[in-house]
Amino acid sequence: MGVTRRHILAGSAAAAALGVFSPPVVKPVRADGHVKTFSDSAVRAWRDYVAGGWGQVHLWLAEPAPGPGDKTPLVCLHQSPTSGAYYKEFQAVMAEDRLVISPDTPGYGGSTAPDFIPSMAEYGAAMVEAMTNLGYGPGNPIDILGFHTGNFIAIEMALQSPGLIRKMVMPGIPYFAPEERPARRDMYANPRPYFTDPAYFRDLYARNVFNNDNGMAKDRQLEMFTERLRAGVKSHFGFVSVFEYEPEDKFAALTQPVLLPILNETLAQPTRTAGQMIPNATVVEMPEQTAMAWFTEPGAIAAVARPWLDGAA
Amino acid sequence: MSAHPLGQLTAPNGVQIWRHYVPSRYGQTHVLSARPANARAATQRPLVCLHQSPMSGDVWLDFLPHMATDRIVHCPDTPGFGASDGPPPSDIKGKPDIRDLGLGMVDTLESLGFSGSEPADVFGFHTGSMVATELTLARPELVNRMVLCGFPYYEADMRMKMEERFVTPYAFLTDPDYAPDMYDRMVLNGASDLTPEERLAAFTDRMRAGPRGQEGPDAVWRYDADAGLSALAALDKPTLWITFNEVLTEPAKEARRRFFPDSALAQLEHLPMVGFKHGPEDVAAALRQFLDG
Repeated sequence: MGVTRRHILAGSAAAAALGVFSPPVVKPVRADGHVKTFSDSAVRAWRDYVAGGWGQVHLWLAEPAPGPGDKTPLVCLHQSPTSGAYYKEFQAVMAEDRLVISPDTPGYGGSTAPDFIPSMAEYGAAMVEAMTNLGYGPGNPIDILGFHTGNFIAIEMALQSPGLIRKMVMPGIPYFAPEERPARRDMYANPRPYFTDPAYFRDLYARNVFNNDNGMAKDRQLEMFTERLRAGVKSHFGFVSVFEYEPEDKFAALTQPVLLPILNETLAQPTRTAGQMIPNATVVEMPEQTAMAWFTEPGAIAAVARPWLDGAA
Repeated sequence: MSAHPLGQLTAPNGVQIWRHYVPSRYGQTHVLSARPANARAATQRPLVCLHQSPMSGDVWLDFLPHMATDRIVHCPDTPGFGASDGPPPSDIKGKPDIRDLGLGMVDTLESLGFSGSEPADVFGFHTGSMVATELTLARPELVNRMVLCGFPYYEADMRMKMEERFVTPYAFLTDPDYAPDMYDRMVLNGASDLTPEERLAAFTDRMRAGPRGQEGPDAVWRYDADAGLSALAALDKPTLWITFNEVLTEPAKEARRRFFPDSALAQLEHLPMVGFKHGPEDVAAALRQFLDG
């Protein structure tokens, strides 16, 4: 039985009773009053915070309307520089039969930012702390899914707290050989020129929203673009950590079963290469699906992830 | 600020700041809250601050360390702004009015634990002053004392003209230059008394409201302020009017002259529009004198 919305609220109240964390009042839970139902589905979605990392970690949560059921909760870790909002469509599908939690990585979305560029190990420790504060751990584990940066954070979580993670789904691993990483870092991991390049925002907006015909609804494009902006001048922190990470030994040390869905996107080949270093990996090629599948065909990814998560592997 | 092991941010003077959600009829209201370093030092009645549109409760961040030294301060995001769920269009025949926003705040205050026996003090700024008015009219017992600042009080013909101007959704998705021009104005060439990072954060807050961000100003210009203020005056709540040096100073003074001639007035017109950011000590002192006197 996983942590639910009610447990999270109860946890806050318990902490308050200890006098450690003192919200002014215990929040009354109005039955169904603070959750929204995804249109056309029996899934309820809500948001919350949990202590973790460098302050608070913001969470996007969803579960079946009748309750979370008995399946292991799934935690989805996003790519940089977005937020847990990235997974809304996928969450709506996967939460038909389990609790799905999509945290904002510290410094992104609504999660408190650190004052320095964290290492990947520090990002992983922050997320372990957040999950521990939600009541998960050995004996009450989670499944985890990552995309791009989120996969490296997931690996750190699995190595730092092996009993916390039951199974791992890792499409899009940002693996590059050591000699390739400096160039990649130069390309992706610099501070964005928000204040120094007068054309930067105009070009970014045109490319990502106004002239973007990627199949997403325009209001959703605008939402995700704005989520990117929320990271502000620290938006490159996650990229720096990715390209400073040395994952080869980490791959080899993973003990959890790992599913590698290979989407038709920039990190397809790096994921295949990484898969050769992961001991207990199952590779599923998905050439028909691009990275847009998270938004436009989330059911295709769920159709691969769900039976594997629920199977005996 | 530094982070507390259990999640709060700690201001240099020890004030603890955290974020959370509470239920409302529209879904969830996002709240930025603060309390003294020592929770037992919260001896004064809690204060609820309601922001201008199309922003969020984050506009109060710099004010919190000054006001939350002796009380709890809650800064909710107005329904539909920041991270708060707004009224679904199907529930409100297209767009919310000030009463819809006020009712969302009634739920928010109740969810925060306020009641007839434990009312809050309420401070409303610009749109927030109208939302405070409707909140109080809907549930007078939830509100103890009121502080109103920049109440957008205009005659009916001016309101109609302004309503026409704000009647269409913000053009984020229809005009390719709308967002970039706003960025140039707010971030690249914005107020010199804000850091670039603060200007970017304020711009991002406006972006978050999206095309429907116009619903705040739209609701303001459709609001029958004469009816609202006369009903509020009839409740005889102790009320303080604060003025900054800004475009709504004279309209707010006119509202006070007409409906609250005997109410308290703190003229802080040495401060610019968002006075509680630029002179938080002065604003906190004025509030304390009125609220705790």
